Amino acid sequence: MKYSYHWLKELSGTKKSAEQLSKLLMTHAFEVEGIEKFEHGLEGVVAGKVVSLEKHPNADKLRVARVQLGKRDTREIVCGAPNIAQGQMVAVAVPGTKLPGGIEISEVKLRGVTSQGMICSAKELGLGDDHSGIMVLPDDTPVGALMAKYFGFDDTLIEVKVLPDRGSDALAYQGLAREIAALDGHAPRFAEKQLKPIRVPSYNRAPKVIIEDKQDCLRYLGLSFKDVTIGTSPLWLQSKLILSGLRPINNIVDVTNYLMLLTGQPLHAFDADQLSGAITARRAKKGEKLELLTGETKRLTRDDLVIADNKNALALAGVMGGVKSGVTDKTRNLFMEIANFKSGLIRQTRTRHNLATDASYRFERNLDANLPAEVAREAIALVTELTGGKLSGMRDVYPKKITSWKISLSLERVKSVLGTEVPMFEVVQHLALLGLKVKKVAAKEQIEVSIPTRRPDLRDEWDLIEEIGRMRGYDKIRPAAPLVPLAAKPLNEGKRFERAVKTYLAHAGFDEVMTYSFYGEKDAERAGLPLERHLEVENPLSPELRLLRLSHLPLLLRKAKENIRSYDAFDLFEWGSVFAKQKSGEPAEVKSLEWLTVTAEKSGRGEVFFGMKGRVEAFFESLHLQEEEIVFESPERYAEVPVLSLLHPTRSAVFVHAGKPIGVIGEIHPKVLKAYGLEPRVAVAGFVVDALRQLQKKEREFTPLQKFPYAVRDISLTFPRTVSVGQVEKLLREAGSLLLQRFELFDIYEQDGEKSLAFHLSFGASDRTLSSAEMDAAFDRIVALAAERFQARLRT
Amino acid sequence: MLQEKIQALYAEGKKGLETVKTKAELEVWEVKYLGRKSELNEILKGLKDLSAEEKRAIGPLANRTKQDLLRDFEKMKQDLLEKSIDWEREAIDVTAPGVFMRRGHLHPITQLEHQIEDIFTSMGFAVADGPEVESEWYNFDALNVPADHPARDMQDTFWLKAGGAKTKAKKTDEKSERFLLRTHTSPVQIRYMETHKPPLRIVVPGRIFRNEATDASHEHTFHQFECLMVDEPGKVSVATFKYVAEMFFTQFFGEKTHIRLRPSYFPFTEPSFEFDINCLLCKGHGCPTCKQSGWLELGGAGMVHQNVFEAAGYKRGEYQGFAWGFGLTRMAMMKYKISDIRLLMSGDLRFIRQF
Repeated sequence: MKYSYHWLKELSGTKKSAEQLSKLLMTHAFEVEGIEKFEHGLEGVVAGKVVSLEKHPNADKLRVARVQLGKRDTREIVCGAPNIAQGQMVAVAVPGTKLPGGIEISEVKLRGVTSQGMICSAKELGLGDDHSGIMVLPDDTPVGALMAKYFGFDDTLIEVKVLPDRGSDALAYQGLAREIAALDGHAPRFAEKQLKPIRVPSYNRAPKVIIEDKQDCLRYLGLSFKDVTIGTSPLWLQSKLILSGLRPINNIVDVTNYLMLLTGQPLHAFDADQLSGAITARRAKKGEKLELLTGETKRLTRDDLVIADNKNALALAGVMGGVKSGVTDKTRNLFMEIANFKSGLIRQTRTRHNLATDASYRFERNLDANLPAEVAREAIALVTELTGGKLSGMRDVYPKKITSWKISLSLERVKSVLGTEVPMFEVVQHLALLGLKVKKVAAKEQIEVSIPTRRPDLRDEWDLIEEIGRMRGYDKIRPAAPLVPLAAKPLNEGKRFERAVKTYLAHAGFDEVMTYSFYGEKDAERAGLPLERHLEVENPLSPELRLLRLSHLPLLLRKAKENIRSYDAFDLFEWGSVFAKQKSGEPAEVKSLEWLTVTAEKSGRGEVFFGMKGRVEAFFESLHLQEEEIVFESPERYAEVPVLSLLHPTRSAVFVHAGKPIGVIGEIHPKVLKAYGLEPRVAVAGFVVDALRQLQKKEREFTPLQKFPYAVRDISLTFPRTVSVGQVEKLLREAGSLLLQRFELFDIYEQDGEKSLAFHLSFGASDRTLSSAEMDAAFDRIVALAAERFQARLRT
Repeated sequence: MLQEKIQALYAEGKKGLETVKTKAELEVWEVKYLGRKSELNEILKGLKDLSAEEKRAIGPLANRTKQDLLRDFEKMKQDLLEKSIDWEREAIDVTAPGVFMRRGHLHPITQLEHQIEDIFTSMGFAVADGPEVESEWYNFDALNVPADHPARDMQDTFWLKAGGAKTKAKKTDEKSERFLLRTHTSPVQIRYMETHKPPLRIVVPGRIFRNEATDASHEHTFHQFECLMVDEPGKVSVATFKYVAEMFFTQFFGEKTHIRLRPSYFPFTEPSFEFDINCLLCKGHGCPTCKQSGWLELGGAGMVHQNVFEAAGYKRGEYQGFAWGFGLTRMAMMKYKISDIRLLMSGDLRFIRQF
């Protein structure tokens, strides 16, 4: 909220400048978001005296006034206002002025007469709506006076960020002035003013007030006035509103706004002649309608609280009044509401109806239910003074009076929390300055503090310690090293694994990217991912950010496309949470590691796939996974793995461990490539991070180095095309048994439905050099088993 | 007699070596002075026939002389090899580029996260983490931000659509069933305290979400760091927080850093503060980065609210601790002078490859 410096100064009695004040607030109370000069736009507007007035020679409705602006400065100004008269003091905008309404004044000829400025209406000066004639100033206004100064606009605005805890007291001038005075070390100036007691006429004409919903309407104070005259507010009142960013409307509305700014208490004025019978604070009926001041009609619910007469709902309690019972120019009798409503309910109502108002903002912040009585006194004084009306009655229904509460605070606790000793006298002084009553408990380092009801944020010892800490200044606390046991911290295996993986990948040439955790329906569709498996954001920023990612791949593919503009080939990875909707509807979240490779060359016979597979194998080895536990299987059997939808059906595989899929690898489905505008140069892999981590070998053991040399022989076998390398490797392991130490595929050749595989075979034993007879036998076993199992023949 | 002969042999050999110009000449020399039939070798072979006294005198001398000649020979061999190479033909342009070897790059956020984790773990803090999809209870209620409290407006939230029956939105009792994308890393405080007893010290890095429109300085997705230390009353205080924070920033920036606390409000701490560090760019004199104030606003902190301890299952007043959080994204932007926050989540390799 932006506060007028002058008004704060007047109420608090501080002598500090605006800059000093904001520094004081920053250090001890609130964040100051800015200090600025009030932009009134009246730099070129001065008071002038109409010394003579003549008819315009060429226009019936215009007159030519000679206006004195200074001892030697008298100007001729053309004016069309009906209310201008000789001897008046008026506000003159001289050429060069840009008025708040945007009008730029220059010397112009009006029907042949040069006008050296403009005599302004109230509206043109930004003071309300009156445009019926020029604004006439009091006779004692000095000639040449700067209007900005005269109106009190020569002011500085201090923008203070009042956080929710202090919304109950500091979103008001008095509250902030009280705070400033406390920081300054004295009592606030406004508190010195004695208020007259309220005298309610014995005939009390105020309508009866009934609180039906005592949970949500904590207090309802109503004032009735008779014979009010609606009019314009005096200048001092208008200027205070304008400085606070509110538009003056009429004396009644202005009084309610002024008192809200001053005290924080929202007020609402009803035209009493539009009310019928008793006033009730009740829940709205289902479907009940109310036309608000804004002209909008709201359909209410049982959860809304309304103020009603015996016929209709009149106002949405604590949020906004209705148009039918509002104050108009014709209002003669007035009913003024000064009430207190439950903060949570007001918040729900304004959220439900999307109606944030100055009133709801304050009620949401838990206002003091004892405030209405004080405000009523001010209201009576102002309404009677400004409207000529008379108080004709008052009702005050306050079912459960809120009283001050006590907190006992030990000095030991203060020291323990702040980490510094604060002497008793200082504690007492700080709290007393804040207006809290402090009582020492005899012979103990303890005090009992009474909390005024305007400070609902002070509930326990810690709240008071904060008050002491900030009043003293946190800079007075010296850093102190903790005394802690030298205990080893528990290791986070997940985090450690994450770092090892990321570090390896960076060394292996992968760039780490981070993408959003959500994408749109279009992305899911392009990738062929099932929509129903996605969790959805209820209130997304845009439809493109509506689905929580099931995989990083839809966005990684998008990023691949973007990066291809700058780079020919690259490897990317992202590590992060992916989400899925479980059958129960509950969210599931796991960490997923996903890779994407773009190669310079297109994949012919799966080169892109095998490039990726090589990376995966090296990765597994570097992590010391139990690789023999992980099987690459063809994807058909794992339809439940959603990302398979974007993989090439015959160039992809699933990593399986103990029968469970723990990852995928593959080239991209041609359909998906097309949707993303990519070429077949892309392969991806993805892993369930936790599954990989659990496959890390717990212990690693050294294998003695081979003492006796291996003998290497090559073998080339021809199989039917359907036989896979994996099957042949399995066969080699079986048939080679103990003597075949290593094998390496060095050629694949396909022709006429047949496939020839050539391997280097390394035979050896740990305790001897093999004889050629032993080797021949092993070799023959392999050939025989291949022939038996796959009808393979030895190629020569 | 024999001694003189050996010395003469050495002198002669050495002199002869100096005249050697080619590999062939060197081979001739080798045969003559070091070969099996060389004079020196003959002497060495004849040692066994000498008297004990002569052996003592001649043996070491003959051996040493052979070693010396051998050494000179090896040196000459090296010299000749070196002279035989055409260095001009061997020459390459060493300023031409090396064979390209791709290296990868960790995201700047990750690099910073590692750096920060290392500092904290060296101070005895454990690294904790938690889910990004959170329940309303962990993200708000347990952190003393009840529904219908204006403090909820301090963090714009992405809510998840209720699964299955939409009406199952909220349980009024106990743990709320609505899900959201966590708006801060603080829910991990509760999760960790539920399963651990003080004394405890943790840091929590993580991705968080705010329902805010993006521009050069606002993102709906960013990274945060959370720090929590809890112990018995008297063992951890505001003064401790100041110490740990100063220690951390001093380590992080590599120079003495001071922190300044200003009063603030967070529902989950009491007292609460904003904390600033002295601007290291201008040394506190005022510059555009610190908006001429000499201080940089870095995050929020405070003493853990007793309601939060209660929500985590601790008894009110039994423990005390501080919690603080700061934007990892903001620190990365400061550190690398990144002017547009959106680059961090852009996946643009022209950006990533700079780190």
